[in-house]
Amino acid sequence: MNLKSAKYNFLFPKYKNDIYNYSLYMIGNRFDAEDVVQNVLIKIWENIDKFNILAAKGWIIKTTHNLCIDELRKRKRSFKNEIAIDDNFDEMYNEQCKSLIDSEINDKILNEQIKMKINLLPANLKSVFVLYEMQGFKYKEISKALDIPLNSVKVYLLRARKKLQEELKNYELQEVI
Amino acid sequence: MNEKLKDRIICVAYGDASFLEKFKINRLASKDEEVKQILEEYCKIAKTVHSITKEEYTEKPKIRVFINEPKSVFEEIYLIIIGKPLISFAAAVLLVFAISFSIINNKELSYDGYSIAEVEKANLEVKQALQIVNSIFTKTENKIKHEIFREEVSKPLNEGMNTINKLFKKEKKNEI
Repeated sequence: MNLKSAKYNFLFPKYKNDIYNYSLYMIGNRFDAEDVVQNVLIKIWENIDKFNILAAKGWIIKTTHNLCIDELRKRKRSFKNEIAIDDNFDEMYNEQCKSLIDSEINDKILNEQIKMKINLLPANLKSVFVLYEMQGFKYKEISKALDIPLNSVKVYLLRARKKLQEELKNYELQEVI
Repeated sequence: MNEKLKDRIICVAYGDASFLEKFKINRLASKDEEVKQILEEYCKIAKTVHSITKEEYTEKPKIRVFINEPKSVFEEIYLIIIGKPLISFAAAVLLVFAISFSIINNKELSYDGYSIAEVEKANLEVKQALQIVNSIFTKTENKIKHEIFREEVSKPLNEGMNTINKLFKKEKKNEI
């Protein structure tokens, strides 16, 4: 076994879930997220000698982020098709929520609603929010991985939190009505 | 509500704020109903956000490199070093500390190795050895002085001088 495969075998189990979760939140669809994970793994294999393995976390998330953005751009190009997919996605979530309302599990509903609303956040706010709140990254790591100033990270995070709160408030109002 | 205050409340709700800031906002919330309501709303969402568990990636990767093959010793060591850098660092520090300690300890042993009793004993032994050497030299000196010089040097010299004197006396008689 050579060094390249040893490094890969070390990185793959360590970061596969991080890559998958980030892609899932950024893209909002499992199939495309899985594709992104495969592409990231290929990129890791191709560039494994070019980055420091101890600082791999930042490099991997940066690559994942770039691939997610590429995927979202592709979607914009095929806009009509995308709307259809999103409609299905929303319907699927609503169905899930209805079934959960029936079973009166309020926490679960809120959990699912939050996941859905996170998916609706703008890409720049969503990436910072997911990395900080869900993946446990620090401000500096996010700033490095996404190539944005440290202050912007803080501002985006605050905006994302406010936006999420507003969206969930609207949802609560709709539920009351 | 003041936007700055709202930002501070959000930070407290999401657990970013310092202990002092938390104390200040909680105190304010106990006095102001609006602050309390906002804090509770944000806390509820923050708690739920933090409770969302990561999803497992179960798909098989396209690149699977010797994943099921046994790992070599080199790879194991390499993975321990890069996988657990803190443990490796701690082990290295411990090793350096142990080596340094043993070196310092050895030095102290060599320095403190001779006790006072041992030093005194050594002194005594040296004195005894010197006395033996001294007695040998004295014996040798006496032997040279009393035996060798007297018997082997002085006696033949005296005999020689006597012979010469006799010869001189005989010569004088002949001249007369």
